[in-house]
Amino acid sequence: MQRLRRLQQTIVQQRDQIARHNDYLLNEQRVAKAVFDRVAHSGCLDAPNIRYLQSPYALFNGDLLLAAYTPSGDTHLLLADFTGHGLPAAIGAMPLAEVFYSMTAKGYGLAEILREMNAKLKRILPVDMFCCAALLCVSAQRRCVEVWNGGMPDGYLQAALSGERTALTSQHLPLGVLRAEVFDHATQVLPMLPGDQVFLLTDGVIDTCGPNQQLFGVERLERVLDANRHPLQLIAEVEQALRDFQGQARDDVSMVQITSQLPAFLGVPAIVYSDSGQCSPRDWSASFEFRAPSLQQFNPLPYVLQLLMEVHGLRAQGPVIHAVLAELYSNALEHGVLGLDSRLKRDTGGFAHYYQQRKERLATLKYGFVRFSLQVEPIGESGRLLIQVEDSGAGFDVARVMARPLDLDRLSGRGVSLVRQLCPAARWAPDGRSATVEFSWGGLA
Amino acid sequence: MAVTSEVSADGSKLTIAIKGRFDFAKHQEFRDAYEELSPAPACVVVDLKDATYLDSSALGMLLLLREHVGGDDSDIRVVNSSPDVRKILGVSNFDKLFDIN
Repeated sequence: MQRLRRLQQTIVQQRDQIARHNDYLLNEQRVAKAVFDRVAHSGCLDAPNIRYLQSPYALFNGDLLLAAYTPSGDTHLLLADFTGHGLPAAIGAMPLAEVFYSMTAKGYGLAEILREMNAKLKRILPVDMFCCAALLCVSAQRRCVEVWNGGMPDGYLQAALSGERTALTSQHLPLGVLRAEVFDHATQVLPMLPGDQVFLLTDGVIDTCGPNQQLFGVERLERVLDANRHPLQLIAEVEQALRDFQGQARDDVSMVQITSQLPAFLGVPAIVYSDSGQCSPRDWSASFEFRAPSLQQFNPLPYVLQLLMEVHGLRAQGPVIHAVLAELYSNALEHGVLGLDSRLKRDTGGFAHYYQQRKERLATLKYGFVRFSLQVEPIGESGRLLIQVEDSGAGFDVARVMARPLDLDRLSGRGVSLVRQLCPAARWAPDGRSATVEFSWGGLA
Repeated sequence: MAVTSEVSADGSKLTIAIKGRFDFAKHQEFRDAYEELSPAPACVVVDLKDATYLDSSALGMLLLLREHVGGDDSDIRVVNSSPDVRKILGVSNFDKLFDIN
């Protein structure tokens, strides 16, 4: 009798202890979730052209979904899946999110962001942990999407007009596996018109397990994509298909869909500086010449833009200046220095060919330059900025290009027309080897 | 045994065979198969003939093994993988690190 009572006591004690531990654990996870959700699911995910669904395997979903506008109005979108799920998987998410937001805001491209993410994860994660990731840059203005996929299931680019669907297949090892020296940041560029959509998912979707240990799988997913009539319903339809399959998720499940949409206004706030606004350089000029070995591997835009944004009067126009400068630079590099013909980009096949050529010519580039000349001058309390972008290329027939109407719905030749829309004062030297744009502030517009 | 290992007579080749699901549950057994060998074998064969499934923690285990036997200089062959398993290895592009056939 005595022994039975002791046994009973022990059981009650242990039960209470387990309950207490479980409470602690859940509370810790709730706190972690609150912090993680703020870091991992913020940015511009609430934009009207982005829809997503994240359902957790355990208390919270350790997949990382980030979206942010670039200074020139494009959208960067990242969907990432660390080894494991829940809290342990979320640890690497913090540094990744930090790199994503800060570098996107400063105007870096996918290549630089990917290199930084990979190097950071390689440094901090144990050998057996890594991060599958898909990173996109959706540019409605340039009518294209740039994609890098390392270890994620196929994503899908769906053309609104033709209904054509292109798989965005993993071409790389996940982030955090390779040393920086051998990491491959090569991206794919595909045409994506306003209204076209990209759908991304984590493997939790296709690895969802049915009643007889069968996996949901890619074929079932693609049948849902085939049957979809209203893009806005797609995520709900996939969710319904998973339910009909009586699927049991074995991992975090995440899906995201983004529609290419021209920004209503380039009103993204410029980078905020912490100085009080008293130390703005108002009268200066500078010239930078980037030669072949630099052009091959260095993106000068973030630095030049950061310098320009020190001029307080220009900050309100930061997004437009960024978009114009980015366009002038890629025109100078691609059509000038590399001699690529933008007419190649007339159709989807040509688009791929164009970017293949770009890669090959850049890799073997020996000579050539792109030169930025910046001039900032005060005019009373106001002022203006002149930017000249020159290149070493053969130039182009300025008169013929200027005669074309602005902004046709074509894929090629977007650069000049975009610059003219954003900056009506843009002008080109008759030989087509240099362009000059002007921005004023303080009532001088 | 879900994980069996065998060292060639001259000690240069280690073969590790996995049976059933290759996931986190096999973590310890998989490590035990190679960690204590001295010197580390020059070549490791991972036989997945009887492996039905492979998850991301299994990929992590392969990375640990690779690190242990020389990293970039390692010689690891992943053999007899089923189409499903090969698909998983393919999505992760592990063929860039391992000799997969």
